Amino acid sequence: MQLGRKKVSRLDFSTPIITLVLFMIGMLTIYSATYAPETASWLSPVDRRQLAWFFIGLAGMGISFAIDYHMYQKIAYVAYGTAIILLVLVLIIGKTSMGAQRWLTIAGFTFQPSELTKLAVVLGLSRFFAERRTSPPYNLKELLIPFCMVGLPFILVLKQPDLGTALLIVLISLVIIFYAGITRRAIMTLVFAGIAAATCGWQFLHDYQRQRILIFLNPDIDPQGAGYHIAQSKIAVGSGGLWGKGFLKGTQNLLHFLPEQHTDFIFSVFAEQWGFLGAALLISLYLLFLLRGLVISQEAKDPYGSYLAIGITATFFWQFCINIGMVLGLMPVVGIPLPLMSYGGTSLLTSMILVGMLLNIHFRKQYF
Amino acid sequence: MSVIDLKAKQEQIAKNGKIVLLVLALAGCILLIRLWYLQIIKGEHYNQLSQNNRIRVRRVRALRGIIYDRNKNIVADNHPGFNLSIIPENIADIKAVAAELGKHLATLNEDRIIKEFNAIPSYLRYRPLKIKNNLTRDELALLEAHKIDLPGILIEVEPIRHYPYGEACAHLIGYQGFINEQELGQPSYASYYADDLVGRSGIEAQYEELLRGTDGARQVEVNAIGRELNSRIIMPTEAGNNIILTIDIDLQQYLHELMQDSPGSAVAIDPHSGDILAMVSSPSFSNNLFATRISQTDWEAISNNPLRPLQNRAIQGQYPPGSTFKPIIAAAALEDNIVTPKTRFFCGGSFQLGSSTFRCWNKYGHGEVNVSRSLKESCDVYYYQIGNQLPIDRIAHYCSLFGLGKKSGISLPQEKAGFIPTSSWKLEHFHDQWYRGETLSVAIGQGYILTTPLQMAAAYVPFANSGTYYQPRLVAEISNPQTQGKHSTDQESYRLPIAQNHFELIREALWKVVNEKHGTAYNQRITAAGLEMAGKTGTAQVVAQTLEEVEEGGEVPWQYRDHAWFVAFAPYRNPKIVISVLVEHGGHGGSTAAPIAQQAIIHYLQHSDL
Repeated sequence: MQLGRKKVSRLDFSTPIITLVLFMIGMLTIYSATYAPETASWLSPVDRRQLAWFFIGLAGMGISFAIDYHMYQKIAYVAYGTAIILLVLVLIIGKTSMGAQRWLTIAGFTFQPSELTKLAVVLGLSRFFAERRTSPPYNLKELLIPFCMVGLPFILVLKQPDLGTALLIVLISLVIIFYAGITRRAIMTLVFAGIAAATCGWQFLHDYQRQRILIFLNPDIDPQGAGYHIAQSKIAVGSGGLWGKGFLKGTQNLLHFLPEQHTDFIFSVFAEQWGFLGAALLISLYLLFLLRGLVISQEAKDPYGSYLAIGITATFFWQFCINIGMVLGLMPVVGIPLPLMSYGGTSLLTSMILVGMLLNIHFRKQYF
Repeated sequence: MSVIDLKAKQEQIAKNGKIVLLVLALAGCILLIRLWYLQIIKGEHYNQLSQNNRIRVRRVRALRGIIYDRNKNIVADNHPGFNLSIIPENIADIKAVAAELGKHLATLNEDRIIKEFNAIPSYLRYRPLKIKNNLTRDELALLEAHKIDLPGILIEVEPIRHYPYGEACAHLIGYQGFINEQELGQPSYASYYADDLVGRSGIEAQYEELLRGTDGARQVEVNAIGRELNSRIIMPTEAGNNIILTIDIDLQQYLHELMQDSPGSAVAIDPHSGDILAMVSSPSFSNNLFATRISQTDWEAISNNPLRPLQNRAIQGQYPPGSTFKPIIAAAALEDNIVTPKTRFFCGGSFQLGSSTFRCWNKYGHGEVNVSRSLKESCDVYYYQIGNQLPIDRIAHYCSLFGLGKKSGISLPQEKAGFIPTSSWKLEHFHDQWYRGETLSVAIGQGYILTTPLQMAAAYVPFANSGTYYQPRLVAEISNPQTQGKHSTDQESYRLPIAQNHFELIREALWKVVNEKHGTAYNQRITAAGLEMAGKTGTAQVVAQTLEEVEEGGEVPWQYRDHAWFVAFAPYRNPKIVISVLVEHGGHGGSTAAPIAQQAIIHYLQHSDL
């Protein structure tokens, strides 16, 4: 693709730079989390794998940037349908691990269709609202179809069971629906329905899921499991103080008191080493990134671009909020990685593809 | 899309953008305030904690509930065992450690340890991995002596299940086995860990949930290389519930010895409560072998034994009841007025129905036979006569009253129901009507009918106590050691709708079986005063033999020989025990099964202080 000067001026530079910085911070933190002075080879296998995934992510980001996002609008319903079929397949032939059926193996590759579902729902909802022929705000009756579009994958993912991802799908969808416009009356009804559903839902939860929520409310009842994670994570973060203990000097981490330190609890490793100053800066960086997403959505050329951009931003927002909230003991322990920073190939690749889409929408905008 | 719609949408987007911005700012503020609270306000507190953070939490296994017999003798409890574990995070070179351990422990599987070690996910590396259960004294001493060369190993004391009476009640108490991968994934096993044991059979399996208890936690202070400095309990364990069984372990052991050479089963019941006094299945196995990881050789010896020692024949073995079924048919015929106490049938050695000949075991015939004599001498022709008039569905009805053809509901897993045929069953399964000739076979306890030794013992309880059926009961009481709370188990009992004088008549006939000349168990009578027993012999055909084959004589191969039954109660005047004995391929009930019942009864009545 030949970029003229005019086109270059349309490129958003701050978003890729923030993305890169967040990845590098993540990389350094993973390095320190897996750093073992006794086996001092300079990059651990974990570090190397994460680096490799970064380059795959770059390619993914390039592709999702290069394809005109209106293509995404065209294939939105196909993608949505595919995701639903895959979810059904998971329930029928999926691989069971730790009591949950979440994985599908196709041609030797094992993957988790619920990851794909998040994106498929964002694409589908955006297309629905972009092509809706009446003006917002919408009342409940007009929102019946989008609610079904969210409800179906929600139930399928919940059945796996994967409560965390199921709720994430709902949270992301609610942002898009709200953003597209919803009457005040519909909001009130939804709030009441939500409370009622949560009350009923408690009865349908698996024992271990209830247990998690109870443990969150009182970590002392499970000093070895989730309660242990929360307690150790708070010690790690809190002991960082204002200035932090310094790079590679986090004792909590060094003594391996913190399990899952380089995946879901990576923020606590960072906060221990860099203190309040570092952690606040990191949070600000994420907020800046999310703000850019919001601006891109506001400036998009058409409603489809706006909805898609806010859906992507919402995906990052909730994962960021839930992950940091969990590490800081504000939320129950659910397995949701910190986007762009946590160790894990799928998570990094998905995040970078989403960033590519954001840039795509920004690049093809025309000012109103 | 019209221009107006587009404009409305864009206006909506611009408007909602401001609200989203607000939410974003709010979320950011909450996280930053929380961060400030943890790192600045509580920073010093957490710093202190982190400096002292040499703390690990380790699980403390709860004591499994103790199982007692009716006299509070322990039949299953826990002994301390020493386990060897490694702490993965403190091990730099697993191959070296495995090799070093292999030097001291002869039976250690080094490859398996390395494999298990490598399979541990990184976040679980702080949790000890058990590599050997139940170390011997010598192994323990060796390991303690070489501990300095073995960083990252941990020797823990953990309770190991112990069964003082082993083989004598292995089927009843059951055993434990290691939980498998598939079970670990199920929500009902959520509180289990990979190296946990679960009840696999008997009481251990049936009451797994109650016996298990709740594990506790211990906080351990460790130094930099993972050695424990000191520890304290942060969550106490809760021991599992204790269970008091109805069995009398002395009788159980005695019966087990009597049965040792004969595959089969014996069940003894208290006729005034339905409490099971003993339940023996032979051959048996040692459940202590399962308390730690069972060796391959031991397992193969048990599982490849053609006599299938793991099967609990008392509740899983299904056999035709043979002549021990006759008292039930007699009761049914009397109650349905097919015969009266005075009715006589002539036995000339066989009974003709259409073109078929049904033979009596006594080919010379018994002559004129009434109901009392029919039981005493076990005349088949008398019962063919009844079978000729009593419909199969009436028989099934009476069987059900005596607890046959359905599970007794005893608290043991995998009980079999036995089988009582009905006309509708035959129509459904063979698309054919029920023939009267088939009822004749059933009337002497042959044909399709199948019962378990437990069912036969329970079915004789109403004969012993003159009319009340008790659902057999194995567990008398369950008590919680924490709350001191106790509860006894429920049990069904009812009076049979059969006239008292009919029961008395049959009781008397059963006395004659043992105590009058020509009775089929006369040789086994008990002469001791006040201990007289009553009972009924039975022979269950394994393969149908023609009279000619029987007369040819010669040695019948063991596996084709008939099963021998004897069901008895004693003392006759005021029965305290009902016992059913089945010896597989034992031939005639009178000669192989009855002596076992007789000796067990004498032993029980003389030894237990009643």
